[in-house]
Order: sequence, then C-alpha cells, then structure tokens
Amino acid sequence: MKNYYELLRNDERYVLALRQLFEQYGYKRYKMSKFEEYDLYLENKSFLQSDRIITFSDPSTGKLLALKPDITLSIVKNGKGVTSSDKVYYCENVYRPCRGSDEIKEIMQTGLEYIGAVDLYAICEVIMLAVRSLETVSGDCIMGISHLGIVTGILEDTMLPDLKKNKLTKLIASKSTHEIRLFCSEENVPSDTAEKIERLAALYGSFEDVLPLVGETVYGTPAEGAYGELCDIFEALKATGKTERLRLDFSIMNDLSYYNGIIFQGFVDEIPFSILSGGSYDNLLRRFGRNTGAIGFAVYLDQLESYHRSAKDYDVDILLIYDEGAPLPLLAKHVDELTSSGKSVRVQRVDDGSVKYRERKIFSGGRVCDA
Amino acid sequence: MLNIALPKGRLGEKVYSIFDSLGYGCPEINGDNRKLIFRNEENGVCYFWAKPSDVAIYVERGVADIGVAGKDLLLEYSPDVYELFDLNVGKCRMSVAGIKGSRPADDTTLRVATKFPNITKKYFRKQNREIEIIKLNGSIEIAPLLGLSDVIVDIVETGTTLRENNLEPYKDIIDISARLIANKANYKFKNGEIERLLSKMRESTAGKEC
Repeated sequence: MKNYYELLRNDERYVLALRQLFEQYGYKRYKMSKFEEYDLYLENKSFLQSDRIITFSDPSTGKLLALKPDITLSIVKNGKGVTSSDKVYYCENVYRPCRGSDEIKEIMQTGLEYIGAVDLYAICEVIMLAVRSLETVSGDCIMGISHLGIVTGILEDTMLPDLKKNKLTKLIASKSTHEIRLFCSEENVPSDTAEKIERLAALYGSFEDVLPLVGETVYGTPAEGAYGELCDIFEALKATGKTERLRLDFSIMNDLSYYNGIIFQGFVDEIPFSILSGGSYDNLLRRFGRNTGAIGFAVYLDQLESYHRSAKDYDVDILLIYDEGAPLPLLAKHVDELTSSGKSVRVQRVDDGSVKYRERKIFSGGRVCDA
Repeated sequence: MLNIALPKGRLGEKVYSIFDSLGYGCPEINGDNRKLIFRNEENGVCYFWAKPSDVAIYVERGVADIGVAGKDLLLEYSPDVYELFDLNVGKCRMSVAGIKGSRPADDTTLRVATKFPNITKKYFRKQNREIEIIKLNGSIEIAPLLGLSDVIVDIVETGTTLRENNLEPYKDIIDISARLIANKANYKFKNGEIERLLSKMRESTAGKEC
C-alpha cells in the first residue's frame, strides 16, 4: 500500500502527530468557521499578538467580520466549559502578521484548551502535553515556565502604580538587571525589593536548581502563595517524567489582564523563536463573565517549514521523455503500468533540468527504455 | 561555539577588546584583511562584523547567539531579545538640540529632524507636544541651520559637532551605552556558555562602574 505519510510536508506531519497526541488524552476536536465578528477582537485587543486584522463586511447582515487572528477567544466566546469541564483541541488557520513583518499571513495553529475547574492534575496534564508536543517537533527542546503570581507578588512590594509595574515586567522580560536597578533607584523602590526583582529576572535553570533560589527570593513577600503552588506543580510533574525539559524562567511574560498563574513557552533547536506558548487564562474567562478556570497552549507551525527544511533527494522516481511522434495511447498505458507499480512518473517532452529524478527513461519506438 | 555579532567600527573594536581580555579572543580578527567572519575553535567563538543597526536583527533571528548594540538602536527598533548587560562603553546621550540661544515657540507644531523617529515620538508624546517628524539618515545637524526643522533629536557624544555648528543641547532624553544582547531561544540552548561569559563580564567590571 502506498505510504501517503511520505507525501506530507514536515509541518503537516506534525499536525497529524499532535492531533493523535491530543485525542489520546481525550481532547475533542473543535472545528470553527473562518470568520468571527470583529467586535470580539476590538474588545480584547491586548489579548492578541497584533491588532492588524483583516476585516470585511458581511453582505447579508452588514456586520463587520474578521478573518480569525486567534482561536482561544472564539472558543471562550462560544461558551466552551460553561456547564462542565471541557477539553478541546483545534487545528486552524489564523490570519495575522508574521514575526518581524507587517504583512498578514495565513498561519497554521494547533493547540488545546482545558476550560473548567483547573486543578493540579489539569495543569500538569496540559504542561506534559505541551512538552510532548515540542518533542514531536524535535528531540532537542526546552520549555520555559514562569508563574505570574510570583512576579506580581514581588512587584506588589514596590508599591508602584500599575503603569510603572508594567514597565518593570518588561524589564524582567528582557532580563535587563542593570535597567531594573536603575529604574528602581529612580522610583525609590526599597533596595531589598529591587534586589529581589533583579534576582528573579536573572534566574534561569532546571526546577531542581532554581526552585530553592526562588524560595529564598520570595520569602516574606506576597509571592509566597504562588511559590507554594509552583512547588506543588513541580512535585506533581515529576510523575510525568517530563521535568528534564523544563526550565524556570521568569522572563516569560504574558498580558496580566488575561493570564494568571502558570505560563510557559516552548523552544526547539534551530528555531530562534518560541514555537509554543500557553498558560492559565482565568482572567480572560472573567472578562466573559465566567467564574471558572482555563489553561491551554498553541503550537505555531509557520516557522517550521523555514527552519526544519526536509530536503528531498528526488522530485520523482522516473522522468519519462517522449518524442513528437510517440503513439499516445501506448505512452499512457506504459505510464499507467509504471505508476501502478508504485513509482512516481513525470512525463514531458524534453528534460529541461528542472526536475530531480532517480531514473530518466525515454519512450521511443513504442517502448520505454533507459536514457 | 558562541556566534557573536559585533558592530562594525570603533565601538565594535573596543567591544572586541573586552571579549579578548576575557579569554574570547580570535587573533585573526586583527589581521589586515576585509573578512567579515572570524572563527576561533579553541576559544569557542565565531565573530562577525555587522552594520551597527543590523546587529539586533542577527541576534533576534538567532544567526548570532549574542551581540553588542547601542541602547539607542534597541530603543528605536525594540527587537525581541534579552538585554543582559550594560558594557558601559560607547557612552553618549540622546538629546533634543537646536540653534544656540534660541528656543522654538510652544504654540506651533514642533518640526523635529531625527534618525530615531520612534524614540522621538515616544518622548514628545510624554510631553504631550504635537510634533512633525522629519526622518533623516545622516548629517542631522544641518536641518535646523537650513530651516528644515526647529530642533533635532540625535546622539551627542562630546558636543563638539553641535558647538561647531552653532547648536546646543536643549534637553537630554536618555543615556546611551553599548549593551550585550542575546537571542531568547539560543540563550536557553547555550545557557552555560552565555552565562559563563556574562559572569566574566560582571567580574571584570565590578567596582569599575561609576
């Protein structure tokens, strides 16, 4: 039987593997329409990575619609998890600017959402599935994890207004300890709090190495509760056997008005950007008037084809050249025989050098012979 | 192997000498040649010279694991990179400057000539001042002299160029110096190497900061 899998591009193979993985854990596929009412994005602009959206007017209703730049918002809006816990996954195209460019592109996005009562098991399952998703793409992968409760807890001690706290979160996100020191001194943040923020920004490493240092840093601050939660998550994650890929890294940030608790980003070798991003987003659900939890992640597959290129040795098995007077029914019969034997055949008049082939054959005198 | 993007020119040479003094030398780089890429397997480094404004692009896209870029360019282009260390070299300041002894009127739109439109916009937005940006690519100083703009926003190192052109700084916006930047993904995969370099930098400058 023909192995159709071989025909797939790398990113298509990843999508299949991820679907299989998500279904294995009972996540149901959620298929959506390509369009969404623009108002949804207008009201939740900062949840999106970019505010550039393709819009158009629905000719039947006159409503302003948008090509989806995001999936999570639609899943939440459409009421998933209203009655009970919901586990869904999706593979959809989204339309938004590509990294480093203003041009809007069609990007394949795959991800899952757990909406409902998010307990320790749910958090660990989602993190474990995120790690396994990365492993699907590459054996050399790292997942950075942060807990927003720890960051906001420590920032609470600065007594600064939200705008200035946001500036500090940006400095933590760029690991600029020198800028944090300068900013805290300009804003008269107590020196012990400033040192804690600097230390938090610089921390990076495995849970085993870094968790005790986090404990020392948050001691006596409002972040202690979140630290306890992080310790519980680590203890539970140990059972999944996936902790060697995890790195604690508080430079991972997301919009605090939507996200809370655990957030994470995944990286694979040879791709200089994160290809997976996720976390708890209870705050987003609250904006929709829902008093429940949610955690999920998305895998961005648009970069994979550029960086993980699969170089094909051949375009076709056989390049078959025929001349002008060739009897066409006989040629078609030979081509049919060759393709039936499982080989790929490209038939053309001349070899212009544009096709890589295993064998070149010539159809001449009613027969196929080697060139 | 650490791939390091350095800015071509005087600042790059100064920065290379810092790397060299920390044990990351690559003798070939000092040779009389026009090569742009230099590798030293023994010290585990590969340097390449890039246009200063392109260094952050090489780092953001992971071709370079780390690099050195001026704070002015980082503020202007906001690349998604880690800014790990202030090297305290290439020090200067970004200032608003104009013709000596004159101050533009407050009741008109201020015409500002600059190479740094984003920094300029951000600064004047905070002042709640309406401005018109005139983006230039060099010789900014002549803009107010020829009446093209009311003021300029540019880098001031010693102030000599301003003085010689009958200009003066009106207001300093921000202090600038060279920063060590790192790609966010490569920082994770080459964490040991990058942190080793960083701690050597911290040790070598400890106590030197003023």
